[in-house]
Amino acid sequence: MNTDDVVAQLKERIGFLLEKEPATISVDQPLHEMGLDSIAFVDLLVFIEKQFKLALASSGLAQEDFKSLNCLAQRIARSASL
Amino acid sequence: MRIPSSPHKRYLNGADWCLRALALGTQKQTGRRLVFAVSVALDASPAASELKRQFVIFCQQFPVLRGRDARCWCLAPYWRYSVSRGPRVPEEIRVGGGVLPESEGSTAFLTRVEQTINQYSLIPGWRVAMEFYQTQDNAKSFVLFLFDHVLFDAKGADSFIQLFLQQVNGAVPALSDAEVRPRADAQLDGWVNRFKNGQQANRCLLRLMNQQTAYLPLPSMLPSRPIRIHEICFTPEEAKRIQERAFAVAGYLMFAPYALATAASAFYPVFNRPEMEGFDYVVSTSTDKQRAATRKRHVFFNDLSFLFFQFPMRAAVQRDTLAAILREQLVQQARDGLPASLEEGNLLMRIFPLKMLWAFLMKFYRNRMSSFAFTSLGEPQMTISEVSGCRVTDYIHFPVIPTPPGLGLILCQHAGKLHAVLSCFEGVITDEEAKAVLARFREKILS
Repeated sequence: MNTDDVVAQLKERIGFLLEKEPATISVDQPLHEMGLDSIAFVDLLVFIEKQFKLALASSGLAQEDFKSLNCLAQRIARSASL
Repeated sequence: MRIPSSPHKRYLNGADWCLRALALGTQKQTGRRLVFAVSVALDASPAASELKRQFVIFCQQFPVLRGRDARCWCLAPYWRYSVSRGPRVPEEIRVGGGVLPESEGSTAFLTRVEQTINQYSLIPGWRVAMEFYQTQDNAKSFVLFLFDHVLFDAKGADSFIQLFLQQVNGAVPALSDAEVRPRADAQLDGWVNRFKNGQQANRCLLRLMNQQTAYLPLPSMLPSRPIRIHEICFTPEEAKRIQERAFAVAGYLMFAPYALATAASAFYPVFNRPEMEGFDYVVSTSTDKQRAATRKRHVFFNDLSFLFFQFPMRAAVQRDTLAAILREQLVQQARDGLPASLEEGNLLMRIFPLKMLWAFLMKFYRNRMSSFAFTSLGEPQMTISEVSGCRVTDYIHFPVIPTPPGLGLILCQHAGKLHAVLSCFEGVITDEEAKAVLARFREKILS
């Protein structure tokens, strides 16, 4: 899976959760600075589970994975290709 | 079948209707209305009379404040209001306040908040109120906004305050009623889908009901049982440390499960009684369905759903393990789509008259809806930092927790600070127990 595709889908979902235009979401910003709270973040994790068939919520997620949207997309793309 | 709305009616959603049932039950059991307050502390004092005048003018822009519940021919309940404005200040809008001694500290301030909530929760008819207090030397002041929960949820109240303070500052004109007018249709379509959603939510809730819920009974003392409020504040440095601890213990962006686990742990000695041996905690927490960008357009009514957590009381002893359990339950409820199912299913509940809905809820939950309520509000939508040249130094939410359980903890943030407010009806726990709960909460959440 292509990282750009993952980024586009994540931006779409975060845009929905925060009611922002996906285009306005920065790929370099950490998730917690975007305004996501626990509930919205869990919603995002469940979306990733369903969309990319990855159980991120129960796997070990490191702080580096959330440094930016780009990092998360790379992690997803990496895990999905395994 | 879609029933069109009109400027004079706003159909109520399932959360609105269930909240009205809880308000009715709370009134029945305690003699008090379901209201909440938000305080805005300032480092100086703006002109009191001008602020009060502006508040009345601001509120009069919203005829929706002067309405009442009604039921449509199609059975959907709605809020009926007239768009015409009268020359006098309607009883739905109230203003008041006074002068405080210069020495009035934070404890006295809290007493004042408690007194005001206790006073207003006995007065029928009002929907929104503002009490303005200033010290004799004008060195500080605080504005206490009071809201009727049938018309406002916490985020809606934040937006309302934001709009009002914007008007006071004259920087941005407040939105008119036409722009903020609440719109919703009767939502009478999709009954099969809603029934299935209700069934799914029921199954989740019945699983919680399998165990004995730890519950502190409310001693009866009508006509009015006072509300007690206790508050602690964490400095920005402490709040930062708490976020770091939440990450280390519960994971990234998992502040809510961490704080809830800490709260359960802090409440444990209060619930740990021989008659509750082997009981479970059931904790309800409301979740905001609104999102940031739409809030200024959704000032009125409730846009909420709920999550429920259940765990053995003994688990509260191991806070860190409990945080992991709660995180799993949060993820599982999101996977099961419980908040959305409840929201959809609750639309069916609207056909019940309120008295019947209250009786049904009590029977369903066996009078033990939850052990305590918990809400983490996060940073408020209110972003104003100055009011008429006075700096906003604090912003705190003070809720009245519906019965049952009549006991709850709410967390709210402002300018990096974190406030924990414990609210309960007198007799559910004593003042000493409440203070001890908050002291334990402070100690545990920082470690």
